[in-house]
Amino acid sequence: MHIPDGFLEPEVWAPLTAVSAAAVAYASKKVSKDLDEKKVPLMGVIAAFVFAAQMVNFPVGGGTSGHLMGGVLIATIMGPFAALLMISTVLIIQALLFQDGGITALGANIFNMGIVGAGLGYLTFKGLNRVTGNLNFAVFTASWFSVVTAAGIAAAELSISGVIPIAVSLPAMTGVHAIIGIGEGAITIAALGLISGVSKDVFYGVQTVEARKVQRRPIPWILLAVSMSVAVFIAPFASDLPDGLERVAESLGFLERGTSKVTSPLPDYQIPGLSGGISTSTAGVVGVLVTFGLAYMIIKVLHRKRN
Amino acid sequence: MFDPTYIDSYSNIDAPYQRLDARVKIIVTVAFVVIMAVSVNDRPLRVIPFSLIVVFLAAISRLSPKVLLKRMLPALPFFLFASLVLGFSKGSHAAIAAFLKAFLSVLSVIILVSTTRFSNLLKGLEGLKLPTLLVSMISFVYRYLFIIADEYGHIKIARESRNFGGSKRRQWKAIGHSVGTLFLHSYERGDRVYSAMVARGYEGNVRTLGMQEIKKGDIIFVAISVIYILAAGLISWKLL
Repeated sequence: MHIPDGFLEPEVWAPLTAVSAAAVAYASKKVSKDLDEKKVPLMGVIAAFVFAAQMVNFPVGGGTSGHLMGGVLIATIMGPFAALLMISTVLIIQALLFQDGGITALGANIFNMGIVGAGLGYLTFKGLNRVTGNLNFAVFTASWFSVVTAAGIAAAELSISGVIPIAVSLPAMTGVHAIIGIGEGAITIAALGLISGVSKDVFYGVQTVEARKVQRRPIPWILLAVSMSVAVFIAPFASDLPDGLERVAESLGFLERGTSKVTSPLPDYQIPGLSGGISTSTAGVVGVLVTFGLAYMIIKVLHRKRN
Repeated sequence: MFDPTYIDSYSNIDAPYQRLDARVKIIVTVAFVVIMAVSVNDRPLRVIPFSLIVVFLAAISRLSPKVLLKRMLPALPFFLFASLVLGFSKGSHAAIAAFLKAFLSVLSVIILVSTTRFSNLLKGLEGLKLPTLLVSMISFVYRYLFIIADEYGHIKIARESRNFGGSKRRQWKAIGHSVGTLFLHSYERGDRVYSAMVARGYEGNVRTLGMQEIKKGDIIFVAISVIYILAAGLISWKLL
């Protein structure tokens, strides 16, 4: 469901609208140049496919069902810029013709599903594929991640606007979508599997499967899962007692002289405004992902230098 | 399934609002929604000057309250529920304000879209500098959405008559294959549509029957409306 008018604060929707407008303008120029201009009808019909795909309902257990977002699905085939345009088109039509989502909230909705859902999802897919060589792992994780992150960001927007406290919205949205995301990942893999069976060269900007088949390594999957599990389940129970250095600083009296020159976004491994185990878990997950991302970028740079 | 002519079925009535240029109507609608969103904040009384605008627009478009409410019905439960949730954190005043803002915004968009022929609406968006690629894509989505959604319906029926069910994993795999198949069909349909359009002289522009021109009435309307909307914003901000 998309955010209607009247719920987000201007401080939230105004900057998001600016960012989305710039991104869509840029994507339009880029796609117009790359794509044979006259192929617009093709892109339009595929955008209609995206709309229809989002109406696909799938079971997630307990009698509930979820809806496909399709961001990573369409981005891996058509590229992130075309995907952003298609998702924006769908959202504009939904806002104007179906009154699903507001006009002031359009920028925020495009940001959540187009930029984060499809754009970040595509980068995640590409990065994971590069690092692990395992296409299925990359597709599944990127799809799952895109759904959960989009939901998390929407929850954050609503909470910043005071609609619902973050302690409620974040776990609720990300929890539900963590489950829906599994279905999205599985369906995306199956869909891409079928499509790539028909046309070998389907993935945008990525080497085809054949060349990389030798390098299947499930180890990164296990390691990432273990890191996340530790962050989510074990970190909240970490001891509150001071560590070695802090203890010495306390007894010798120089603890107070420790100052931070930089404002930390997640002080003490907590999300500001959220307390308890959930705060630590979420901060932990953010930390794992940021570390993973940085490590990937460093490896990529080193790789380039070596070649 | 869904009647594509439903959306702008009131665009042929001979009423003042229908006769205005699409660009002007879009500007007024967007100005209305934005300024209301910025001025009202959490004070429900401030909505009053803005509601007068919607009443005025409904009147000059000859749309009866019954028609408007009927078109509002699908969207209503969502922002009603959201307002209730908001009520728990920000209190009843803010909840009522949010509900009314959503209500009036949706109404103004319904009035805009019902009274403007869809192709003119798109031409208006293009005139307001929305990227041409985006506008073309919007027109195609509108045209083919129902066809493709129907096609998925057929795939679904075929799937279900072939022993669909079992574990979630199995179901997801089958659904994934359905989605993949739908994509391939859509891609090929898009290719055929493109070829057919080229064979009929398509060169990349959205064409409408009447050329868009700004008349005196349009300028007067947009000037008065925007001034009034700004005034409503100021008045509500200062007095209510």
